[in-house]
Amino acid sequence: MTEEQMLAGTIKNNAAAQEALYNRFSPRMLGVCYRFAKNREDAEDMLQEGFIKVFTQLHQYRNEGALEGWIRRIVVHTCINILKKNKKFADSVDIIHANSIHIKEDFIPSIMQAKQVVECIRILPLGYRTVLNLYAIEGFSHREIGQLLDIEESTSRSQYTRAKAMLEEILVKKDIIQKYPGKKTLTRTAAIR
Amino acid sequence: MEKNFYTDDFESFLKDTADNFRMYPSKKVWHGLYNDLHPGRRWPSLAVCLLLITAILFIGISNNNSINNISHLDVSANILAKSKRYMSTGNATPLKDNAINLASNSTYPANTNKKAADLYNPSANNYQTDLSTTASGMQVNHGIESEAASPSTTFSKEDGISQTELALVLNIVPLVDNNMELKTRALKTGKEITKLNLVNNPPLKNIDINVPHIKDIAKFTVADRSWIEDYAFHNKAAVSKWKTHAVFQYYITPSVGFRKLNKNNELPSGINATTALLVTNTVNPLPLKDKVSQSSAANLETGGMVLYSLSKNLRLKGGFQFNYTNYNVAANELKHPNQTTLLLNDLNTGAAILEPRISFYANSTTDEDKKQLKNNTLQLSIPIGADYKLAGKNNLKWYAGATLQPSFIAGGHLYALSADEKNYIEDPTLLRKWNLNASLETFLSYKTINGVIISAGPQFRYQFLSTYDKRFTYTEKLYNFGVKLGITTNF
Repeated sequence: MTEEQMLAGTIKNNAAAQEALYNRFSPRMLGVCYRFAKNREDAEDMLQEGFIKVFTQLHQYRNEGALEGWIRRIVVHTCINILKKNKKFADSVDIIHANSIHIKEDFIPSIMQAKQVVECIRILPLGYRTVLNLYAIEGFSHREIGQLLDIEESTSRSQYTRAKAMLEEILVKKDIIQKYPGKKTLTRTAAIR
Repeated sequence: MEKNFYTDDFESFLKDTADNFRMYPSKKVWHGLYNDLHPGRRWPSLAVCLLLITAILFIGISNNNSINNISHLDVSANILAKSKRYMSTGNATPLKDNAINLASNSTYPANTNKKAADLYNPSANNYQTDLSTTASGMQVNHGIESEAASPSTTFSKEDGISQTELALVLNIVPLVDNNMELKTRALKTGKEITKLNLVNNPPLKNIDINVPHIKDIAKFTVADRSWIEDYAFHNKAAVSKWKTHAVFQYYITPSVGFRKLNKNNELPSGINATTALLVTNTVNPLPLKDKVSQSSAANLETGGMVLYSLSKNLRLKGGFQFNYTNYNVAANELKHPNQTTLLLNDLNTGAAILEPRISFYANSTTDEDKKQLKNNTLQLSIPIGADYKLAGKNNLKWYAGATLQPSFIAGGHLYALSADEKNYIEDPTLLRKWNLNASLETFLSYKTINGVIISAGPQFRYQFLSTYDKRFTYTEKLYNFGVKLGITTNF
């Protein structure tokens, strides 16, 4: 089934087209949700809610840009909305507490490749990882993140700076990346490459 | 978004790595989505369940009604009619009293507050003038609640109903129901007596009425008994011709279910997609039956049907039936779901096409994580057919029968073989909604002393159309061998 057929069928509420679209994009979108969520179950809940919005709002898609990007945007917003319903979330993104957090070696999972990096991101405190996900991976600006999370733009910047530093530390400890003394650049290890 | 987003190596690394990360959702996510998006698709199964319940209730009620063919209300009306005939022959004398007004006042007049025994005096064969009730002065609204505003609730001479008749009605009523709403007609004039609402305040049966109860036949005189016997003789329940020819059968058929699997389309040899290469390179040359490990499983059929005798040896039958079909395929549960493809028919071009699917089960039978996948369907059918008597007389008979069964598939689980035949994909949308089955059976029937007929015999059931809809490139025909057990009763 081509993308056009999938789109037309899904807009007509055709179950087979909906399933084809879901099968094509759900694995990558669950990966997105998983980076935001506490665990796999929460990620699947986010995915389900996100796809309901995708299916019900697909008629608004104007073929401007990739369909995957459009779906991803909806899924990310769904994840943020679900996170914002949690009262603790607001506190965790608003308080800068990087100095008090120490990453224990045991917490770092020994999973290979992309999942290894994702699991390392998920070790970060909720506020840090949300800002890092939105800025570094999803491509939101700090202003957009501020509006999305109801925080100051400066808070988003500082959260991101500290999140990035913490993640670098974790990845170096796991030997996923190498940091050369005196240089800003990072290189990937063979395992990732 | 910030334009200089990818300038940082670390951010670029994170973006690339995270974008490559994929996870396969569990099937409950799609099921949840499907149910949210198509809530109406739950309705057919619900509607069918309601239909089944209604049918069962209807059968139960109609059987009950056949036992109590003449309603109590009809009895009371007939009693009224008969009592008039009875009286007109001189056995009793209707009294020429003034009209009895039940509507203008809910209580009887004080001067009518006499013992009910005065109403009816069997020894004198005479009926008293009053309709008074109990010694304690029972009020009408204890027993009869009429619509006060309606003129037709007034029993008068003009209505042609004597007090005697009304007394008889009152006598009959406690046999019916303390809360029953009685609606009958004045017999002579045809005018409708509106509602006689018998309320339970207190119940009539608890009131000390000394009028002899219709059941207390010992208190009646010889003439009374004679009349009652005469009434019973001339008022036998009418049995329709249809009921003499028709019987009802309940049946249940435990059986063993199998399937026959065939392929109805292949991938074209010149397909150029990467996925096609994957499939064509991995096609197993073995016959299809050797590529899958399948086994039979328990099936069940139950239902009810009407059997109508056309002749001494032939009878037609039709009814409503529920079938649970089932068979197993052996598979291994995957720890991590696989992306795979289904080979489907393009209904416009007839060509085979590939569609991506996620699979949780591998088509292999290693002992580790081995699982029996239950392929089952719930079918609701309307069997229509005939039985022919091969031999037998009196109580023991031998029949052969056949039915055609248009069937609605209310639901089920379906594990479809993937295009590369390496996986099973659960996909209920591939289930065909309507199908056609047939059954052949032979059985012995034995009529018991109490008239109930018990029958038992082997049955073969075959499904003519594929379990899958036209899109799927495999065709599956189900068949069952079972033993049908039935109980047949008269209407």
